[in-house]
Amino acid sequence: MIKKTFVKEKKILVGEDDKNYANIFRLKLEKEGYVIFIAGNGKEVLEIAKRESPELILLDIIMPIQNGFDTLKILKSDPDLLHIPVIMVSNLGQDEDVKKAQKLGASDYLIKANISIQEMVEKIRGYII
Amino acid sequence: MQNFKKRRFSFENKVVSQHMGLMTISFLMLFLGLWGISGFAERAILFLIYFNPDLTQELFVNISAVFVFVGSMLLTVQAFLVTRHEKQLVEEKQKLDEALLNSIRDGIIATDEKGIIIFMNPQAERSFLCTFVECRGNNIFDFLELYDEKERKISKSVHPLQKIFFLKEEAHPFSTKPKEFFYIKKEGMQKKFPASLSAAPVIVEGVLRGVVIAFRDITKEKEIDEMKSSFISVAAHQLRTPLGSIRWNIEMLMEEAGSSFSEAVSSVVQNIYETNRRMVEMVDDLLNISRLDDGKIENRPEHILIAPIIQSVIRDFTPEIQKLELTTLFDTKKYMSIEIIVDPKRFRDVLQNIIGNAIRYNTIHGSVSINIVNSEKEIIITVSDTGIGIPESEKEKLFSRFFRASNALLHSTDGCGLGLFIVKSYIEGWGGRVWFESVEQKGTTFHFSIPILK
Repeated sequence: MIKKTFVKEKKILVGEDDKNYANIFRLKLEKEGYVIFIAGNGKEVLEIAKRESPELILLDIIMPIQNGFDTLKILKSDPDLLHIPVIMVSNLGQDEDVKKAQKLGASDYLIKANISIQEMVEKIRGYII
Repeated sequence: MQNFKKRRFSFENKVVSQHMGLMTISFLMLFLGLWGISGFAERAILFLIYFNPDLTQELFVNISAVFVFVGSMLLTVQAFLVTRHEKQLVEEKQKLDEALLNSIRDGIIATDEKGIIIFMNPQAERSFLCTFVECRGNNIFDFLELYDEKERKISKSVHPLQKIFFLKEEAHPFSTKPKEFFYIKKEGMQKKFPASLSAAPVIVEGVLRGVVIAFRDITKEKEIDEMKSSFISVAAHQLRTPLGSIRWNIEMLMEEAGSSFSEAVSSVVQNIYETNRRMVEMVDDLLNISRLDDGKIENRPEHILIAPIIQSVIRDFTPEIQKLELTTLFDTKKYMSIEIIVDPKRFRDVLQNIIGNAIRYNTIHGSVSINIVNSEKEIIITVSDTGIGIPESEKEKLFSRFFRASNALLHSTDGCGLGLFIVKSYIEGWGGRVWFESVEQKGTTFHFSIPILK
């Protein structure tokens, strides 16, 4: 019980504009005991990140207003936010994309269509102890 | 035009000069003949006036001179006609050569044996924004600046033309490989352009006389390639987005309500899940093939444990394994410590294709066994199945792109025949090899090796 309360306090911010994915992220991760914040674009990601200081950020790349790469760049140049691990979760998966994300400071890169939702949860657990 | 005439090869002029020589000899003979004919006329008059028999002998000598004169006249006329004809031929040939060189869409530059520019065709003039007159006499190494694909300047010591001049008579033609190119610019030019390049030594009677360099500006081709690449990337993203969403939704559905599904509903949901996964694989295959064609597949080797990846790939095929009631034989514990340095993503793709085929093309109640042999130099992974096998006549084509064996097509219409082509390309890219044994209706064993990097 104590453990569950501890896990519940962990916040994950998801930058995802696709409503289907956003819904699945919320359903699955809340079921796993995390507190979930959904941002529909890069600007919102930055706002919520500053306000909530999440333990982890899951970031899509193709998003309106400000894409994932630009958002990642700002996150990693902000002294208050750069410590937050960012996992890119996108359906773009070319080597250039992965390389670019790594270069900008992403901790991991997952291609949505190529992993199961459970594998994604396991990845997340690797970053939120 | 004026310049072009100046740079004609002397070969044609030699032909003309040979005939000029013939004409000179003819003129000499004509002179001798004239001398003879004047002597003949003088002696003929004396002979007629004095009827002096002593003059008869001299008269005959002079008659011969008349023949020499007539002969030389004929020779002179012939030599003149031949020379005029040859001149016309040479001029026509030069015009044709000029038209040919002008019509070549590749840029052509020729140098002498020291690398001094002695010829440029109009396309080369256009590419380098200069006329031949301006560029003539420049050294090719100073003139032709080459940059690699990352736009880093290639120094003179590793300039691809260097070998030709250095090796001289031993030099072989040089040519960029398909998909390979250089950025080229003339000394002082602002903009570089991408080009494929080839150069060949001109060897006359075993001696290097010069080098001919041909290049093709591939700016347009590169633009099209980039457009294709970007289209494929966008198309792959757009296709993966709904497919990934379907996958996660089905997984959530199974997790939340799977236990309450009847057998029929469960089987329908599993079919949807499996079909969706194949679609994802197809999109990935198409994307990979396009990357292979573009030479853009990157290799990022990492230390990885093999067994957990094999285990995870087998787990991915659980629905098919259950459907055919297959037995999978893989001793995870036995192989748990085997490590390899390889790109994990590509390694997984290889296993997914080989293990996937062993499962999909198996028969009911069949089996799939996976073994690993770890030697000092390489790791060999073997995947054996009890499936439909590969027809003897089709074994050679198995690794060709878009090839699917005839019995595989009857077994299942899914698949686009790219998997084993990709597998072979990856494995050979790592310096390994892939081979198989197969008996139709009995099964297939695939082996692939990966060298151990140290």
